[in-house]
Amino acid sequence: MKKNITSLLMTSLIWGLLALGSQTFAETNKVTQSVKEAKVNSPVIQDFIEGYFESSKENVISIKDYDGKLHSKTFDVNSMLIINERGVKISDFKKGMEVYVKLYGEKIVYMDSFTVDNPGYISPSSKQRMGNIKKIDRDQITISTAIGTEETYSTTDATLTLKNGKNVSLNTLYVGDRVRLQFDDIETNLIAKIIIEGKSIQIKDLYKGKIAVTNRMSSVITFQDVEFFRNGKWKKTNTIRLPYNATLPLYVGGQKINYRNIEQYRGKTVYMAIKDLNGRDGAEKMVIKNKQEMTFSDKIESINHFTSQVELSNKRNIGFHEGTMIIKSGRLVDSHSITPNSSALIVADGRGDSSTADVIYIYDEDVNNSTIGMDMIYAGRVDTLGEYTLNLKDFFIVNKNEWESFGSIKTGVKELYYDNDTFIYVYDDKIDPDKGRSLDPEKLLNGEYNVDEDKAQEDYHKKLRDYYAYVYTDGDRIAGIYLRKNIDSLSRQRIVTATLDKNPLKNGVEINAIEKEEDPNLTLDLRDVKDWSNYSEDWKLKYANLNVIAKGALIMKDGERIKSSELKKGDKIYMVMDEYLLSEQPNSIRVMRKQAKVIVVK
Amino acid sequence: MRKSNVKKVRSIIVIGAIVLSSLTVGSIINTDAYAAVTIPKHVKAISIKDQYIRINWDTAFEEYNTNIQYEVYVIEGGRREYVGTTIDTGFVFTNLKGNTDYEFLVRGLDQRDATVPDIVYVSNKVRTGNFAGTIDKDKQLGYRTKAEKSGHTANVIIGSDTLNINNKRLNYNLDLTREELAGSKDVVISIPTDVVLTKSEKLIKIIGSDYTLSFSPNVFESATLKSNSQRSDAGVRFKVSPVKKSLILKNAIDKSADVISQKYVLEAQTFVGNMSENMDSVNGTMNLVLDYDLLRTNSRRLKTINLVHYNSFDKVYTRIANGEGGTALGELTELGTYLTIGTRR
Repeated sequence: MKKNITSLLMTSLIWGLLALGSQTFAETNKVTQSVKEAKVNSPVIQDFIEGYFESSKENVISIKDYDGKLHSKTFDVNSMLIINERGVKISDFKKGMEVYVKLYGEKIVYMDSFTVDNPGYISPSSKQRMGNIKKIDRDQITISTAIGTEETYSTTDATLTLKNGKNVSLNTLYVGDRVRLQFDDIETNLIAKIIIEGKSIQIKDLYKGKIAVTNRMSSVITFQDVEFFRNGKWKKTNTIRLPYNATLPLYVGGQKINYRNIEQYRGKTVYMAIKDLNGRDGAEKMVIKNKQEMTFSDKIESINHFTSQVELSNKRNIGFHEGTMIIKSGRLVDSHSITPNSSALIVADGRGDSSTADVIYIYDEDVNNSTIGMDMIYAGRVDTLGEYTLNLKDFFIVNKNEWESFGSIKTGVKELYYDNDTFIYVYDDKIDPDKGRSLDPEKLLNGEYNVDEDKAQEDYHKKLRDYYAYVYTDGDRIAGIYLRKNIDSLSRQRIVTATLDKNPLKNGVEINAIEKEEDPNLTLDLRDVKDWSNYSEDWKLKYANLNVIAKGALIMKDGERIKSSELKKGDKIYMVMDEYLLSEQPNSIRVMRKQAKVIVVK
Repeated sequence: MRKSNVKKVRSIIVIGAIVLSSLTVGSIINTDAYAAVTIPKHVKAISIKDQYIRINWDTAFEEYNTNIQYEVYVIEGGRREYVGTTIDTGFVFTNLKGNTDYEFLVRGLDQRDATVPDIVYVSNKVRTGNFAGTIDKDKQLGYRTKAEKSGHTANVIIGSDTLNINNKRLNYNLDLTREELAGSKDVVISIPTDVVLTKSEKLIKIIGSDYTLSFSPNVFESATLKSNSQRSDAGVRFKVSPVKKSLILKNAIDKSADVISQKYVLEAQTFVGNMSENMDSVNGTMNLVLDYDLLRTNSRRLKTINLVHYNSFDKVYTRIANGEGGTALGELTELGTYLTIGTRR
């Protein structure tokens, strides 16, 4: 009986175990199934997490899984922390590292990562390079870094360009600009963001003066017999004192000398590129005059980099060297920026027929600052208007600083595109043809700005006339357009570059505030004016200030239209200028009017 | 009398401005941008040996010349073109073409930007001869051979004129110890493509204070120069300069190695326009004679003297030749750093 009972118990136990076993197996199977499902849907399962390390704070680690969900789990001294199969501290894990984490409940028991395949996730924009732009070749930007190396990076459509905290076009960049490049990935050469240093990099003036006193104790150098270059001439000014700067490159006769030895050159003339350092003048580069000075304002006909010489259009050969101060667009640049057919002021140092340039001041300016830009200035007749399209007929383009005609009646049509961000200004006032108004782009199509030539004989159309336009485009996209009933004679217009000597003038008095509406009474007082000569194909210096009327001018800055009152003293401009006879006085005396038509702020 | 003329014209300027103001409706006009008149008289043009044309004129504003500038226009083939501005009563027009008629028009501009009637102030006509234009005395860039010292650098151009059939010089000796190049530590030699690519027996010989380096310009021949043989802005820049920094002798020939001469670095770059590439080796051989310090050699009991090439990238020394009696002589095919090392074995 006892045996039977034992046998029954054993059988029950076996069956019970079997039943339990099958249930456990079924449950295990169920769990495995759920894990598989979980694996399909999410990498997070009950006992491990895969994703990216976010942060650690005290005893809590945050991990972002592949679905972007954030997990915060605790860890302690017993938690195994591994990188590349070696034990590490929690501080060795960096944000963005790919990690595998084993959990026991809410606690991390194991976390590992590898840096071999994925050496660096970096926070967006945390990889940076600083330097001066040496070369711009469409989407390739070469910078020279502080240690003298050259590095080339690429821009993309997504590259942001910031100047003074404002988003600007890539076309704003100049060779010589000081920039900070930011990248989103440590491996990439694609620039995420370009931050352009403001006016601090710009050379304010070119000075020359004699070293009078050097005082290293007070960190000041005093110069006397000082002159600065203005309107094509050296003009006398007061004695200046500049901060002593031992890091400043200093050259004499092509030889770099130690700045500490500047005292030995007392009484010698020094050429200085002066810039504004936080409101105070400071020298960016100095060259000590070695022999006799000769100045040339001429076109550079050719350049040989291997002999370090330029030949001017007057057939004179002039050498240059490492210390030659080369200034272009108000920036210090290297000799690679000198190109044949550049117009320049050259301050040469030498004797007889042998001379070397101490200063090469290149005048060249164009609508675009570099090959990145595709900005164009058009003038022409509005042919057809469509929804966000405008066909310009018998049109002209500013090409190499002069109007080039594309005026063939049959083929001279250019299709341009406008959008809701296009600035449109119309001059259709019946009393004052120079009085304009801005126009909503959506209303351009409704206006009577063009004629249907097929219906030109119908009475209604007989009253109409095609408007003429000055257009500023980025590629084929119209950024700003001024429409007017009559066209100006483009043949008398001239391209001019200059610097605003003062803020715009109203009745002869400088304005100090931006006006709400376009002010028709503003004139611009310009210095350092250079006229483009179509004949000699170079820039010709003017020797006095020039006053022009700003009224009616399409003014563009950083790809956007601005009001004339937004122009400021010191702005460098590229201008299409008109000059026409206003009246003829007795004695054959004529009164001319100089009026800006298009201004591009550089 | 002239002064009264000035006053008269200035008063007209003001009147003109007032008249203009009244012409425009709806706004007060600032007269600064309006221009009135000065009158440059007697515009005369004269050709100077067909190299340039000098244009002179008189002005009613003679006393006020410093305030006046003049725009000069050339009239050529019936077209009027702006050619420049001056503050003087004269202008030099250059870049003349042969057998061409030129006339000039001068507009006087005071600070307020005045103008004259164009038609009245045209100069006389000047016709140039067959051969007109500025004479290029110093010739095109890279043509003329020249040597100058700038600081402690001798800048030398072995120009295209060396190819001239009348040039019978056998060698170009650049003596850095004498005459105009005396005291030069570095030497930079620029050679245009045509000189590099034209086969020649002529040698360039650099004589430094403790070395002599001689080579043919042909050693810089390269595929880059061959494919740009027609470009006048293509050529080679070769530089020899002493090395100031000390070298790591760990990998030198022997543990007892000691540097017993000045170290010199030979560098060459090929230029095409503003593009350049460094050369690592030459197409041929250069002969280097490098003096070493015999006193130091003897006092350190250095037995074997080697002229070596130092590869700064791999930090490896390669033996080129033996030295004897204070001089090491070797044939070089590589550019880079050369020095003499003595060892006790």
